[in-house]
Amino acid sequence: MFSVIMDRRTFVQTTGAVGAVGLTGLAGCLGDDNGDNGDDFPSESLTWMIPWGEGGGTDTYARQMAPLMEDPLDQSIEIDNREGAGSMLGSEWLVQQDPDGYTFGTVNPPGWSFTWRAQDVDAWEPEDLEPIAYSGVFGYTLIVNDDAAEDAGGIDDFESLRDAYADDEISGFGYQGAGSDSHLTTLLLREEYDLDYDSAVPYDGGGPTMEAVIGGEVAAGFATNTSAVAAEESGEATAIVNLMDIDLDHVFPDIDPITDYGDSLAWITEFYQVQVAPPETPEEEREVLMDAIQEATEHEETQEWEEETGNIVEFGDMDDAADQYVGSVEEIESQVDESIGGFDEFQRLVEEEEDEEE
Amino acid sequence: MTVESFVGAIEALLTVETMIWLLAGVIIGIIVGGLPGLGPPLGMAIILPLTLPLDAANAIILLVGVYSGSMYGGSIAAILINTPGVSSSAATMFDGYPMSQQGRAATALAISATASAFAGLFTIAALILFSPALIEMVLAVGTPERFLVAILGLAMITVVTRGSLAKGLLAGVAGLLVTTVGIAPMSLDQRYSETMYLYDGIDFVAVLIGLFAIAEMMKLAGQEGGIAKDEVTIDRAGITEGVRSTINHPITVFKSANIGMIVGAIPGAGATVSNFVAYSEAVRSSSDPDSFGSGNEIGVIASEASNNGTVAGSLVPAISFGIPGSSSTAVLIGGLLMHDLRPGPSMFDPSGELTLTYTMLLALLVGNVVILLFGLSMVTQLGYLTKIDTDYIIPMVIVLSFLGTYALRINPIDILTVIVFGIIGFYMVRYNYSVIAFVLGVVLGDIAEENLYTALQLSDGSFMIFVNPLEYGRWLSLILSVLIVLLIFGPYVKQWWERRQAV
Amino acid sequence: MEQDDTVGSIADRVRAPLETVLGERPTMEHVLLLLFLVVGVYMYQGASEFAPDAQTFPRLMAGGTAVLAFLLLARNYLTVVAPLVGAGLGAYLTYDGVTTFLADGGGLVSLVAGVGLLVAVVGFRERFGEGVESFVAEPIQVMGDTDTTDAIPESETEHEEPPADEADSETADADRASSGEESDSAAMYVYEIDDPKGPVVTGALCVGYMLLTFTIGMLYATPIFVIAWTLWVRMDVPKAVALTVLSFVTAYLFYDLIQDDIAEGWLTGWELPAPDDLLGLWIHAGDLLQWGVVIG
Repeated sequence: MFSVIMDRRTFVQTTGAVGAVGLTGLAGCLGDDNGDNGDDFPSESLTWMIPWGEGGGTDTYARQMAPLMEDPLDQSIEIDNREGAGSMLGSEWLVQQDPDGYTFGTVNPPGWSFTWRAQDVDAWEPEDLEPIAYSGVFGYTLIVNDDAAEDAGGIDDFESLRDAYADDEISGFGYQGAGSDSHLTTLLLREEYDLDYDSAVPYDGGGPTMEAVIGGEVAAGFATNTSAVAAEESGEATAIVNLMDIDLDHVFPDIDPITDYGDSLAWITEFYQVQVAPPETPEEEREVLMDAIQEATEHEETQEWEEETGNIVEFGDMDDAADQYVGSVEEIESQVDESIGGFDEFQRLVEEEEDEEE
Repeated sequence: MTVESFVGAIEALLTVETMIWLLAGVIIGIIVGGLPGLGPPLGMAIILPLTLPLDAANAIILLVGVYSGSMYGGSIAAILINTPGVSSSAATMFDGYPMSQQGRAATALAISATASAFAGLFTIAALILFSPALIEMVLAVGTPERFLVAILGLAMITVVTRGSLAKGLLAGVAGLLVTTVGIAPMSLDQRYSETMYLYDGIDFVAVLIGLFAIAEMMKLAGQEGGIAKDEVTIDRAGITEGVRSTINHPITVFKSANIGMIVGAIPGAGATVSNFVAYSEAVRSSSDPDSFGSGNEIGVIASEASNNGTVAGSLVPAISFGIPGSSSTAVLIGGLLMHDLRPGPSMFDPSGELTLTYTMLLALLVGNVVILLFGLSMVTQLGYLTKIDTDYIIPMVIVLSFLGTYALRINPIDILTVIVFGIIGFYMVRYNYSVIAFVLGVVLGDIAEENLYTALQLSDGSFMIFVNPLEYGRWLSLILSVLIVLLIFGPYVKQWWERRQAV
Repeated sequence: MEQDDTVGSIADRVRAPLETVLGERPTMEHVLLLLFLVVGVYMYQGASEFAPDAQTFPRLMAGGTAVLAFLLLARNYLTVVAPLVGAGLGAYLTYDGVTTFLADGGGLVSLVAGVGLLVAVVGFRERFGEGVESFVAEPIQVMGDTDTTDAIPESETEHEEPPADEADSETADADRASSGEESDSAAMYVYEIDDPKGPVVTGALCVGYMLLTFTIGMLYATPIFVIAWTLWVRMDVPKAVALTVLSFVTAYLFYDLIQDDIAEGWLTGWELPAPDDLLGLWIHAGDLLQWGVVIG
C-alpha cells in the first residue's frame, strides 16, 4: 500500500512535467488502483462490453455468463452495451481501451469480420484485438409464417419453400439490414440455391425481422437459432431451414439442413461468441478471464439455461478463439469472390436493389 | 382457469416482501426518471443483475416498478424545471412547466400523479380484460402502419403550431433534417458523419435536453427570482385543485390512456410518440386550443394519462412475442429470460405463466397507487423548488443535464448537441418558432424514413400499400391514412362547410 | 436581441446597411435563420454523395429547411422574391426531373412538380407572391376571415399575436421594447429578460463546462463550472461553497454508481485520481502521522 501512495504522490508532483501520453498511462493505472501485479488480477470490478443493445442474443449470453464468472474472479462484472454501426462502434471503442484486462468485450466473427470489411473500416483491424476465449455459437435459420405456409399448401422444408416462392404462393423475404451478412446470404440463396423470392425486404436487425415474419408481413425470413425458438413459441412461425453446419435437431427435430441443397454456408451463417481484449492486453490477465469463462460455460446453471433456451454453449480456449477471427476477413473475401465475384460486386448488388426501388 | 390465475396473482402480490420490492422499484424509478437523460432503460439495466437472487415474480415486479416509477419521476422534472427526465414525458413540459411558472406547480404535480394513476388503473384493467385483442392488434401493425403513425405525428405540427405557418414548418423540417445524420437505414452510407461518434446520429434525448432544459436555464439566467413568477403561496389547496381537475376531465383521461396504450403497443414507434399524439389530440379536440402551451391543465392531463398507458401497452408485444418495443422493454425481456421465463403465448395461458403475467400487471396497478400516494404527499415540498432563487437552480439543472447526457453513452457529441440545441432552442422560443414542431420532427424522422423505405420494398415501390386494402390487405393503413387526411384538411373543410351554410 | 446592447459602435455601423438590406432591424432571429439556411444548403449538397435511396429524404428536408429559412429572411420582399424563388425551384426541379428521366426513367415526380411550379409562378405571379407572403408572415388563418369561431384552432391568436412575426413590429421592438413582444405572443413561452447578459454568460459557461469536460473529465469539471457560476452571480460564500459541494457530490454519485468514464477527459485521455483515492491517501497520511507520533 505504501508504494502505491508514493506513486500517487509522484504522480501528483509530476503532473505538470509529464506529457499527456505518460500521464494517461499513470492515471489509468493509479486512478484505477490495480497496479501491475498479475497475481492480484482482478482487484476491482470489470467491464464487459457488448457491442449490441440490451436484450439481444449476444447480450443475453453475457448476462447469463457474467454472474457465474464473478465467483471465480471474485469481482463484479459490469455489462456495458455500446451498440451501433453493426457492432463496429463498440469494437472501435474496445480497441481504444486500456490493455489492463479490466475491459473486454464480445464480438461475433465471422459476421463481425464481414461487417468490418463491408463498412470499409480503416481505423483498426479485427486482428488488433487479443483473443480470450469463446463461449458459444449461434447462427441463422429460416423461419416461415405459419398462416402463409398453410395457404401455400404446407411449407416444411427448403424445397417446399423454394416451390412456394417459385409459384408465387407466398410473398416477401425478410433479412436483417441492407449490406449485412444476412443480405449477402439472401443473395447467395437466390444465386446458388434457387430461392426465387419476389421481394427481399431489409429490416432493422433481428427483432424487427422476426416481428415481420410473425406478423405475416413477409412470408419467411432470417432468425438466429435462439430467436427461432422464440418465434416458434409465439405460435405464429416455424423454423424450417438450418443454414448452419451445426446440428440443431435436438431443438428443432424436423429442421431441414441447407447443406442438403448445396455447399455449406457456415462461413457466413455461423457465428461465435468470442471474447476479446484491447490490443496488447497481457496474456496472464487474459488467461484469468479465459478460466473464468470456462468455469461459467461448464456451470450447471449454464447447462440448464442452454437446454431451456436453445442457446448453444461451447467453450473454446484462447487459440480456438483466435482461430475464429484471425484470417477470417481473407476467408470471407475469397468466398465472396468465388460466389458472387467480390465485395465490389456485392456493393453493386446492394445499390442495384435500391435502384429497382426508384 | 383464468380466475384461479388471477386469485393466485393477488395472493402472490399481497406479501410483505413483494410489496417492499415494488415500493423499492417505484422509488428507484422516480429517482432515475427524474434525472435528465438517464431514463428507465439504464435504471432497469443496473437493477437487472441485482434481481438474480430474487425469485422470478419479485424480480419482475422490481423491474416493472422501476419502469413505472420512472415515468412519474420524468414528469416531476418536466413540470418543475422544464427538463425531460424521460422522453415519454416530453409533452408534459409543454403545459406543466408554464403552470409552474404561474405558481401552480402543486396543481400540475397533483394532476400528474392523479392522471397517471387513473390512466394506469384503467389501462391495466383493460390489458387484463382485453389482452387477446391487443395481441391481435400488435400483429396487424406492420411497417406501413408504423410509417403512417409517424406521419400522423408529423401532421400534428399543424395542430400545435401557433403563429406563422412557415415558421412552424421550418421548425418541423429542420427537426427532421437532424435525424438524417448517421447511418442510412437502407444503405451503408454514413450520412454527414465524418466521425464515428455520429454514426448513430444525433441522440434525440440530448436534443430534448438542450431544447428544453438548457434553453430554459439560459432564459432564467436573464431573470430575477424563482421559476414561479407570481407571488403565490404553494399549499395543499393546489393538490385538491389538481385532483379535482383530473376528475373533471374523465374523457381526456380515458382517451389519452387509450392512445397511450394503443400507440405504446406499437413496437419501435410507440413509447416515445404516444404522449405527443395524446397531447396533440387534446389540443385538436379542445374548444380553446390557444390556451395550450401556456399552462392548460388538460395538456398535462393528456400527456400524463398517456405515458402510463404506454407502460401497459408496451408490455403487450414484449410478453406475448418477446418483441422489445423500446429499450426499457428489451431490458424487461432480459429480466424474464434471466429467470427462465420465455415471452410467448404461454405467458397468457392459464396452464402456463398467466399467474405471473397477472402478478406483473397487478404490481403495475399497485405501483400506480404508490405513485399516487407518494406523489400527492410530496407535492408541496416539490413545489417549493419553484420558489427557490434560480441562481441555485440553474447550475444544478445544467450539471444534472450534462451528467445525465454524458453518462449514458460517453459520447462527446451528446454534450455538444445539448449546448448547440440549447442555444438554438433559446432563440427559437424567443422568436416564436415552435420547439414542439422541431421535437416532433426529431422524434419521428427516423421512424418515418426507415418504414417508408421498407414499406415500398414490400409493395415494389407502390404507394398504394398505404391506401388500398383490397390488394395489400392492410385495413389499418387505410384507416390511418384517412385520419391523417382528416387531421390536415379537416379544419379547412369544416370552415368551407360553415361558410357555405352561412351564405 | 440582448446582444445588441452589448455590441459597440463598430457593430452599429455594420448593422445600418444590414438593416437596409433586410428591410428590418437585424436581430438574433436573422442569425438563427442564416444558420438554418447555411446548414440546409450544406446538407443538400452533402447528400449527393449518398446512394440514391439514401439521398431522397435528406435532400427533401435540407432543401425544405433552406427554402423556408430563405423565405423568412426575405419576408419583407416576398412579393418580388417569392416568384423568383418559385421560378428557380421550378426550373431546377424540371431540369432534375428531365435528367433523371433520361438517365433511368425515374424522376417523374420532380418533373411534374417542377413544371407545375413554373406554371403557377409564371401564370399567377402576383397571387403567388401574395400567397407565399400570407404563408410566411401571417399567423395561420386557415381560411382567412373568421375570427369568431373557435372551432378553427388558430383563429384566436390573430388578435393577440400577429405583430410578433411581422416585420414592422420586429423593427419597432427590436432593441429595447422587448416587453411589448411578450404580450403579443401570449400563447407561447414568454421571455422577459431583465438582464440581457444572463443567457449569454450561461451559454458561455456551458461551453466552458464542455471544454473542461473534454480535457479533465466531467467529475472535476462539474465543481469548477459551479464555482464559475457562483462567482458570476456573486453568491454569498457559504451558499456558494454548499452549492459547489452539492454539485461535486452529485457528479461523484454518477461516477461511482453509473459510469466511471465521466472522470476521463475525452480529448486528452487524462483521468485525475478519483476523490475516494484521494481520501484514501488522506486517511493513510493520517495513519502515517499517527505512526510517526507513536514512534516519535
